[in-house]
Amino acid sequence: MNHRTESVEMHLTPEAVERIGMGGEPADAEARHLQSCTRCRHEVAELGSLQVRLAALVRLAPPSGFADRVMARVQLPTPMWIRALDGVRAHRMRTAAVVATLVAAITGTLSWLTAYPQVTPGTMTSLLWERGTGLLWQGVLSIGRVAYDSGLFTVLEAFRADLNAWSAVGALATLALVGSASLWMLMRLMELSPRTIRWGTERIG
Amino acid sequence: MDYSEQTDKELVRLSRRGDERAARELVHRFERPVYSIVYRMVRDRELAEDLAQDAFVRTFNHLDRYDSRYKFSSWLFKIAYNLTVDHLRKRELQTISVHGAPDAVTQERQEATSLTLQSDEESPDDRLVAKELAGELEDAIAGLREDYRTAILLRHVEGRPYEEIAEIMDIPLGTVKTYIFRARRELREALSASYGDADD
Repeated sequence: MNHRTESVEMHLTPEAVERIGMGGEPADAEARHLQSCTRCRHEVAELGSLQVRLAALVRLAPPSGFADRVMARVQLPTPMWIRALDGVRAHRMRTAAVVATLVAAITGTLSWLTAYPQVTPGTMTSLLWERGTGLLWQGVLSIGRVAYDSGLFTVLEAFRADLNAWSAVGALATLALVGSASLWMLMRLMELSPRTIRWGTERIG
Repeated sequence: MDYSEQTDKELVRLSRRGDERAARELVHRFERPVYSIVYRMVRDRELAEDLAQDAFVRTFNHLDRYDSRYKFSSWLFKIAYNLTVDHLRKRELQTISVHGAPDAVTQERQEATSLTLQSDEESPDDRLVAKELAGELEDAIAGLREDYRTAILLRHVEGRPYEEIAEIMDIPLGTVKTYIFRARRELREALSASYGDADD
């Protein structure tokens, strides 16, 4: 209902006055009412006149170079996963080649496995476990052997024998310094844009 | 990609991914509305630029907090409005004439705080008439309370619906309606002479 009761007369609601005053089309009943009611016609005309004058106010332009000054201060967010995703999108062919190779390898392995009925998921798991732990143990032994051969244990043993407060503080300070520097380097690398990283790797390569 | 054809939502999505050109397009799209509102609240060009700049910078630097269910422009206006109101409250700046701030004692200061009403499409004569008419209107707007002023500008100049104004100003819908009703009444009273001319 677009009319309000006041005394005996039915006038337009404030919503209807607003809508028509702001340039909206009146409904048939509203148009009929406006023809006969001076008060509503005056309200609509007053609002319309104000609307026209206000809407004509100039949208002031900021001083030139405003956008540049804003952009110089803006730090747009660039999460790591988005950069990685961009990298994938930028190298679609390479990504497609890697995915195709993986799919081919998995499909080939599966079809090879199905050719041997004695190979079940259980036998495969136990084989993989056996081989995996064997490889891991071999790796640990190799590292140990290299460390022993390099004389690292001799150095550590000598260090332990000479350990005092000053050497401990010195060792800790060196570790803290090297650790902080590595962390700082890592953080800086994470901030680099993909374009800069590409530029750097091209120069190194 | 033609950024000028993208929607605000799409430009925000691209900006969130670090696309500077998308962010720049958003700045171009909203620099006039934001600057105009801020300027009409503080009536000082330099201050208005600083506040409008801060509003954009804060908006873009906190894009991760933007809820895309709402309009980007509402969020931007809300930040600009809050910054301006905070500033006005701190400085207790008073509403001033179209001819310059009342504390503007030097010519330079008067020029900095006076209102420039120029439009590329207008002839010099048109500009003169527009300045006279708009000067009266600008004075009337400047005479309004700051919350009435913001509400009426958002409604009539920017064409924002009541619900959005309530969101921007962080006040109930009923209060927005009251502010706009009272602002219109005060403007009508201030402009009653020219209304009489218009009716004839």
